[in-house]
Amino acid sequence: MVDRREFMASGIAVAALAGEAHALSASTTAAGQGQLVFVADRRFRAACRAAQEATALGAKCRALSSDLTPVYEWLDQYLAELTVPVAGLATRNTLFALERLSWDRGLRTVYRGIHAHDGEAARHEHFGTVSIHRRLDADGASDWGTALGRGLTLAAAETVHRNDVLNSQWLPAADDTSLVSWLLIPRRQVAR
Amino acid sequence: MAELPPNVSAEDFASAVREFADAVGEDWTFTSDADLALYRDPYSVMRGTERESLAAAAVAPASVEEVQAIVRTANRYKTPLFPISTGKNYAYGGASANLNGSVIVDLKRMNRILRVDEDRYFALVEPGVSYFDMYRYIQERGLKVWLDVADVAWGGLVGNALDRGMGYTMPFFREHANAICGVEVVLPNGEVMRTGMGAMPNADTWQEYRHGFGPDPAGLFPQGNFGIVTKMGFRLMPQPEHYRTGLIRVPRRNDLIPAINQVNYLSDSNMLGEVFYESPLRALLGETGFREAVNRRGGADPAVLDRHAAEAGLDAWQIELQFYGPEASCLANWEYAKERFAREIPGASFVEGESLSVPLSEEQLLNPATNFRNGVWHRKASQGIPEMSAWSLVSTRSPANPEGQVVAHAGFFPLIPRSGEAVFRAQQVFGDAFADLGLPPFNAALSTPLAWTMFTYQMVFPLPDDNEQVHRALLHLIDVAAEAGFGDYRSPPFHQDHVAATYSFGDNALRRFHETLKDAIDPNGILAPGRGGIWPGVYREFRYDRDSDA
Repeated sequence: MVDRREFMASGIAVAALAGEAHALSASTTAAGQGQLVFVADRRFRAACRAAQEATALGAKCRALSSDLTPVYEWLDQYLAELTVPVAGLATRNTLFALERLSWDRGLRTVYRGIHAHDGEAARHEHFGTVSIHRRLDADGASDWGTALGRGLTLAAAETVHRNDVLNSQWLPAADDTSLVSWLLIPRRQVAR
Repeated sequence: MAELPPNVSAEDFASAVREFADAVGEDWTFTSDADLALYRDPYSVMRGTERESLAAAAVAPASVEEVQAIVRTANRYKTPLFPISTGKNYAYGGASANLNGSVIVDLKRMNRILRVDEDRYFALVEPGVSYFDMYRYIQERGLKVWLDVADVAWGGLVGNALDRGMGYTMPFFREHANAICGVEVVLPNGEVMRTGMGAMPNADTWQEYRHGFGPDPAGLFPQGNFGIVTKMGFRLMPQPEHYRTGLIRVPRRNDLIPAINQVNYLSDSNMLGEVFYESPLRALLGETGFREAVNRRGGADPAVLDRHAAEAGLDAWQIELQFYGPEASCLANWEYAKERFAREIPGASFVEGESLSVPLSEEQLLNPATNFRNGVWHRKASQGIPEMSAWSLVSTRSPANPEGQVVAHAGFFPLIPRSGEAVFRAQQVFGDAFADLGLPPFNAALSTPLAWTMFTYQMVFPLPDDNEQVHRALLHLIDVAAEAGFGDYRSPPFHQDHVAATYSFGDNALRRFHETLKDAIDPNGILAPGRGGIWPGVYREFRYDRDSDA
């Protein structure tokens, strides 16, 4: 289980998660065009690092902790105006709620991950054909959170065949220490 | 592969789907496995079994005219429909239908807020409007009206009221079906009907006088299947000026009886918002002797619990009161409440709560300044503010769920009379029922009622973390409750027939009345067959048979 004291003391990325994303580079990715929302649970180091990486690539980041209401409300309005990919790394309850909101707004799930974490080491299970898991293995990033953030952000622009949209009825085991990651893309990116 | 509706050929169904697509557009007609999976109930006790109800298709209209077209097509091809507003009715079925192979009519695109009047205190909305949508609308315009919100506010006002959901403010408004004032429905024959004053063209009282003239059929639509609601009016609570809380503690177990009588008086005199009951004796549950006394079969012995309480220096019950209105009225009502309790219950003690101007600040919302547990996860809801923090009840460690266990997400809320005697009886009845089921005891003698409804109470139970166990537990609890006269008020689809069967007065006269109406109004049985335990003649064979569910 991540040591929360360690995370807070590290000061990593807390400031970067406080508000709007800072697009540090012009990119042709969906994130670079301000077209990806990345949600991170600020209580977990890996999520903060993933969000940092996504932000650096141009994603719009939203952070939450125990109460997902502010992020839910914000995303509800944002997706009503602009249907963009949504990715994130948080707890299973957050995924459950935000996934359903995203489905209502015309997005579909193309990737989910379960990350049983213990400090820096983690075990990953991947679901979906998007190439995120390959990026996690191959990326030279120093930690899996950063690698995941990069992988999700870069994958957000991919087009997926409709047969590869993940069946919605999946929940990871009720294990409070696992984080879950996800990528949802607009239906227009799903090839019929 | 998607299910087919019963008694409909693949060819006819394909034709129906084509006509649905003609009406609403292909983009809003869903037949792929991935799209239809969105309408499965994630908490169904039948999940993954042969008995799980799955959608044949889903269609999302954007207007009343499109709904009418869908209904006409459904009649033509005899395809059953199941309307949903936002589909977030978790613990009660979510977006899933009673009948396998139904076509979900997803009304989320019909999400206009048509009218909000802050001088006459009403709103008129379409079924896809969520609590968040409505709150945002009110806040953006600075309207001085309040919503009464559901526990988890991502759902829709209309859907919640149609399943008789509840909230947390003043009695009239927190019973959401009670606050309905006027509906527009598409009937099973495709016609549009308005109830109450809506039936009078040019009347501007549709959301003020709900009955109109003659019999009022609006009551047929909550938990019913007589029409697809396309507009619904609500009475809204005027934004109060002030909010006050106070805590009353009573020392003895049997003091709950006069305490509830006092709450009834104050509530029915319109002086109180929702009341939260709790027992300080929960602090003693770590002691084996106390725990055994609490879970004693046949009910707890008051003298034994009182002895434990006295030894520990704890009161038996605490009741948190909420007051809304002008500051002087809130104070006067609190003082009056104290006076009545002190007169009727020797040893009653009082703790001053908060006295705050409305609206509360964010700081005040998040950090109550009281030194008693006050159902803080209800706090925003008690201010008419929608939120998602109640979601912490599901599996995540939180102040509401400190052990972080997964709590099975099924609803069983029996209605009990508003008396202390009834609460004690319910504690004994359900405590014994849990023991009979071999489930962990739920500390029966400390279970407290919810004061959601205006004139009854409800009890809440933890359910096991296994679908089959939940299913069996619900069947047993429904039976046990009915035997004691405690009817379930709301149920997931799979158990609705069983609940309906317990309302059996006059050889099930009520159910037969509903069926007669259903067959007359919906002869093809296309609209939500089975909802509320009402099966049209063409599908009556699908009614749940308890005897065959060994």
